Amino acid sequence: MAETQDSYSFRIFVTGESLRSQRAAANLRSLCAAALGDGFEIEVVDVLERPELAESERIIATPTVLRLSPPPSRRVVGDLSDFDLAAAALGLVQPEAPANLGGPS
Amino acid sequence: MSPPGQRSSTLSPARSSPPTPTVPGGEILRAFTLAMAAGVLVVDRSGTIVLSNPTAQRLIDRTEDELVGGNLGVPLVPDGVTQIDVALRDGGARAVEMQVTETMWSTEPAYVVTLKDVSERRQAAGELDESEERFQAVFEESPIGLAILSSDYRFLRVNRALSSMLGYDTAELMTLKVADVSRPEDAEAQAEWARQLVSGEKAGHDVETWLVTKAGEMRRGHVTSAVMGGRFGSQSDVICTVEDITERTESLARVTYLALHDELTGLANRALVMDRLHLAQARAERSGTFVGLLFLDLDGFKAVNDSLGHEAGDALLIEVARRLESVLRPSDTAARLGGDEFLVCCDDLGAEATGAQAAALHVVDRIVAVLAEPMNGSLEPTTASIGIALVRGTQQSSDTVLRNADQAMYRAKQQGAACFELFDEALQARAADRVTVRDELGLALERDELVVHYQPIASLEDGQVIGAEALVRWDHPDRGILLPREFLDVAEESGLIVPLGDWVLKRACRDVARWRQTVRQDLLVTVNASARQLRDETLADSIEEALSDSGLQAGALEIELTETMLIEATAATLAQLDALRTLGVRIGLDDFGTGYASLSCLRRLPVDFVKIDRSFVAGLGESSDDEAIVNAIVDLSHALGLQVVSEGVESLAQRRALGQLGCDYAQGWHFGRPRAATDFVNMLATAPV
Repeated sequence: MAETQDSYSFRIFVTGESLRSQRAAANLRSLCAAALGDGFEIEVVDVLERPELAESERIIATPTVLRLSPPPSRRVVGDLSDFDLAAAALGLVQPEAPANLGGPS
Repeated sequence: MSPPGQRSSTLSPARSSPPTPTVPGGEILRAFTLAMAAGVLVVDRSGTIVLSNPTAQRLIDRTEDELVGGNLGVPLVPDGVTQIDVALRDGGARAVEMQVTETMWSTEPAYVVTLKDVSERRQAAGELDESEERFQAVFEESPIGLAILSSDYRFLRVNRALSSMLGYDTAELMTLKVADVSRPEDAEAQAEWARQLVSGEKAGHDVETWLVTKAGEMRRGHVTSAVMGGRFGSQSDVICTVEDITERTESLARVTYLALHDELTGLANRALVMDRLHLAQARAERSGTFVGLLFLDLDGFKAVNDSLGHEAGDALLIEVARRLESVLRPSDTAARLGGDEFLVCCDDLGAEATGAQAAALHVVDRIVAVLAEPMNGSLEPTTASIGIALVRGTQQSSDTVLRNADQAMYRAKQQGAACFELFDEALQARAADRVTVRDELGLALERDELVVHYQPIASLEDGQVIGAEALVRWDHPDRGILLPREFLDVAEESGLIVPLGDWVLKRACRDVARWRQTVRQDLLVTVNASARQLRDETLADSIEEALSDSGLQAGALEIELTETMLIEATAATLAQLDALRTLGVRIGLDDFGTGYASLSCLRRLPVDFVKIDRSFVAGLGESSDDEAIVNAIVDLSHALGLQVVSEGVESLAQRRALGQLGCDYAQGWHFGRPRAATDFVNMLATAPV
């Protein structure tokens, strides 16, 4: 998983401006900052505001995170609060502690 | 942009059902998923949905076609349960509780995502009264068993469906605890479920478990349970739905069993053993070890069926199956492919090639030994031809391993009964070539491409040609004249040796019968017989037919057999030779000194002459050992009344040495190479008589 050089881009789909939505977006930002430093972009999309984008991406539930770049693209849904689990599912590397990503369970 | 693994045909109307899993586990999972009251999605490692049940379709507000193939995303549920929102078609959203368990789908890891609608829980409390009334009616009339349990798993309320399922009156059941209708061994697990629910650690449970009826009968139940959260009772009451799935489970288990086992013997069938092989290889790939596959074919099974009937044949197969299982390790799998063919998959034979071979041969030894034990009733102990294929990890596909074992078995079979053979890479490379040769050889017989060449045999006393050895050649349209060594192996394997041998015999008898009339009336001819002809007991008949067709006198014909053929011959096959000798045909032992026949057993063999192998002749004049051997062979043979022929005589020195040692006849380039019939007869005609 040597995917550190390229810049990372994510899109997170949430529903409304609820606490849950805000927490999901915040979790993703913290996770990326921990794993990637500055090299990432996050776009937050509210499916109630932009249903057509959710439809074109075939979003089934929220919160859903798409990793847009670098390839391969990945998609996760659910609770992003466990960074190791989420980072592994999104294919991210934590340079200071790569061993932690090996076995989320 | 499309997520990895997402299928492009998500919305295709042609897709009417989700992909069918290939392993039985997947089929069972599918059945239970569809039957479950909770919403269930099965997604693969990339998050792509491979299965959805109707409840999930309703919760997510999408059809099966829209869901299956779509990408939910890899579900992240670090705390066992989490809430997600589903966007509905009307623009609203629904809160859904998501739980995830890992499973296998086909052969891949996958996730079972369980979804529960929790939006209702967040509704205003004002609607409760009306709901309570409705709930009472639904609870009582529900065809599904329902119960409300106290936190210590006592029945607080039960409905009629549950009471009748368990064989109790409703009032009676309400005095009992869950433990009273469960197996004692499940008590601990139930206590743990109760604790998890009541403590709020889990929102619900969805399990299959055994239920014990009042009459003590065991029923299989599908039980879902959830904390009621104080809506219709106290905060910690638990509501359960109980469905009797005994019949469904039994028929599913039966169908699954039948689909994977041989009905007659109860062994695994081809599908199951191949699956086991596949799994064993996958495990072995990680550990770098060998897996073995044995292919067994019973010897003479058709004869049992034919002579004793199919019932006896079936009894033999069942007994063989039982014995196979008795000598295998628990990790090995025995299977019946059909007919009298069996497979044994041997797991984990170690990382060393030679060790793996030894381990596989050890299994073979055990199988051979157990098959050789006496049988009950009229059955004779049986033997099997066994082919062995070894593979390190997944270096070859399971199908290739099966083919290799099959091919090795085929070769074992050709060596006769009760042989085994290890698959050999080099053989595989030659196999393709051999198939071509076999096909062409079949045609060669039809197209008359075979010819017989004759090599003169001379008397060592005066150098006179007294006869000839008939040697087959193949006048191949593309490759020119081919010597026997290039096609006789293939002919033996394919059985073409029988028509080929017959053809040579008849041609030689005809040629020599004619030459005895025109050129040399005391001319003899030597023809080689094949192991197959001897074993099939067709040799004597073929020879008698060739003699009567050609009009050749029996005394002019000599048949050569190899030592190995005679050593392995049975009493019946040897009787053929006695019959021929009675007719006047002389029998000779070819390549003498190279096989197993010791000088001492020469006495017992029904032969008239021996032919000393060319390897001893080549050393004459150079090696005193060879001279001593030839001397011993000649002396002993003469003492037993046998004549001695030498082959491969190439020089005058060798001829003289053989003459001095008392050898009777000789052939070799010194006397003349094998040549076509017309050349041979010309040579005879011009030679001094």
